[in-house]
Amino acid sequence: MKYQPLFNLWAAAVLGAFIVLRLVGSGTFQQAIWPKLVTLLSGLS
Amino acid sequence: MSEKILTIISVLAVILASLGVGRLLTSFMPESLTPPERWELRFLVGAGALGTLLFLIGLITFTPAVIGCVAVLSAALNLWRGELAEPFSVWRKGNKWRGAAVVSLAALTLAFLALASLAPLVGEPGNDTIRYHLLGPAQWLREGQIRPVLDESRTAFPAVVETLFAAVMALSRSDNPCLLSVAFAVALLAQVYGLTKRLGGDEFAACLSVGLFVMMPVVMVRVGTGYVDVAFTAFVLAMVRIAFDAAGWRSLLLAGLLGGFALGTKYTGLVALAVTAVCLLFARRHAGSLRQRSLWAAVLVATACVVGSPWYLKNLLLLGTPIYPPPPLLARLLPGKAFSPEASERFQQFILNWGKGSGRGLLDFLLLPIRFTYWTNIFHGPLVGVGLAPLALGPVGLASARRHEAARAWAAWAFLSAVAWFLTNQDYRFLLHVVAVATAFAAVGGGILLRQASRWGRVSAWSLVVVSMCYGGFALLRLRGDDVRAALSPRFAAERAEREVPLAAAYKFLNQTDGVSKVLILNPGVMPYFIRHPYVKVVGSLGEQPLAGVKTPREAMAQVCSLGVSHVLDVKLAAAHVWDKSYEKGEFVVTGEAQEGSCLELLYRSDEAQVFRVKCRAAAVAAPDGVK
Repeated sequence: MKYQPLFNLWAAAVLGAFIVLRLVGSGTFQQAIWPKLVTLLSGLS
Repeated sequence: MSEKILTIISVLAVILASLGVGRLLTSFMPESLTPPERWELRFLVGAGALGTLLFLIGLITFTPAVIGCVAVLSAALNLWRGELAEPFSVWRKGNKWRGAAVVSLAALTLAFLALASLAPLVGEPGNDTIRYHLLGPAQWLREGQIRPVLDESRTAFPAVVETLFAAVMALSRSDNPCLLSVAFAVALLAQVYGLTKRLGGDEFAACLSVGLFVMMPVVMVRVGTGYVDVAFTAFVLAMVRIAFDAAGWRSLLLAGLLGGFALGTKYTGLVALAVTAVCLLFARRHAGSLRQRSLWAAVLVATACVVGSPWYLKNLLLLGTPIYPPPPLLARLLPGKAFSPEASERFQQFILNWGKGSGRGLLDFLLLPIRFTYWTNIFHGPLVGVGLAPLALGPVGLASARRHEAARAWAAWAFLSAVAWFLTNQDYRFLLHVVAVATAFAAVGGGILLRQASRWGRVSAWSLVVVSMCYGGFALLRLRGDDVRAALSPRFAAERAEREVPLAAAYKFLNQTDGVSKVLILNPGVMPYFIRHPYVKVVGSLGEQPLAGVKTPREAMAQVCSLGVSHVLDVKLAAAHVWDKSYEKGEFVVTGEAQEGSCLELLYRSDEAQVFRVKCRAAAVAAPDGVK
């Protein structure tokens, strides 16, 4: 494909922005998702 | 038998009945459809037809016996000819591990959501499932006839899916039919699979699209609830798919039929139908001369309008206006029953404010893909609700499929639909059909980037897909985990109901009290879905005034003996959607002074609610009902 390197760069940028904005920047994973998952699993068990 | 098992059996019965009705129309389907698509289409067409048929019968009588007879007769149509192994044929043909992986992922997610759907319903007044999607069916079954519920104007929305919910409620004798929505999610997944292939994707891309779509919180978060957006999206996509691929009149009529079911599911079907007609005219230039394309567009629109018309005619005849609650312009021309022009203006303002999203400027539109990806909460959806794939891989798919005529037509349709959404109501739920098309394009692009020669390019693309899907999966666990827990643990469900249902104790008291023949509800914020008795409300949640000549709770209390009610429910609840300032205070209507010397007997009182027995009515009318 003609513009493949450009598309690769775009995909990497989208992923990078997500990691910075959501997973690291706002602490969503550490503060919200992981504790809920632990609660859910402990509740089910 | 357990209520949950009865619900599962009833949902299966409705699915079988839908497949039976759909069986009659399989010969109308275009040859280009894949086997999973043929099956989901058979279900969709059957479900739409069954919902419409039950609605028409329900206008005369709507009892469990009648619904059961229609369901059995419809299901019997399946015996005509069996093709039960067909949907699995795609899995058998090659790509075994890939197909198995995707089917397993989808099955696991849908099983999780199916389990979540069996939890007892809870929620705030803003929860539409409780507010109106299931209130209408519950009331119709209680009254034995489909009639407007005047105190909740949104029960007059088109209701193909809600009628099917009512069928499940009638057959299972349960008040939670939300499991049925999982069947529509399966149909939608099959749509996305087939659409990806139609856009030029191979089997790998088609499987990828299903994997991406099933891990999208914006799509899956409402599966297993009373919301009808997933069903609506399935109807719309099916209509467009058949309309764009139609090679003859029969297929076009089928597309019109599906368009009619979309009109019968949501008012936004009108916009989807208009956009589809425009695309048939201008985006499919190879389909014949302009005259021929105009004729096709006219046939599509006419068929859809005829099939979807019962809902609008019912509103016109029973409520005075075809679209109810009416928008202000229509309200001035055709005023709706029990819904004043002022209430219409306020509702319009509320909708405009709710749907303002990120703004309506050109820059806002250009930034829409980025904002919708990372900040879906602006549009009332879960954060990063569509995952990363549409934004990252969609452009690759668009670029690679640009020479494909069908892909260009679909891209034009999605673009116009997005513009219409952007200019009207920017709620994420109303954009799911565009999300589905974007996912199909993303999967086509993913099929290229995930298998490219460059190792680093492959690693980057796979990382994106895996991170996106995992994030979506965790988000779904977070959003629906409590529902699953409530479905499995009755103790947790009871605790949650007390915590998350406002006035739960008052509802429980009323439901367990003997001799309740009709309850007078004074506050518009009360959710009658939780009351298992006939009721009458003085003011609806949008300012509806269902009682002729009675505008306020105080006026109702002044003539309580003549309203034919046995009990009065008075609560302290600030009602958000009613613009009468007196409701914002959240005070009791019946105070000690008002009660003194009146015909009310206090039965229950808490900080937030009080229940009275109406003695004068009880003496005159309610004795046969067993009032103590």
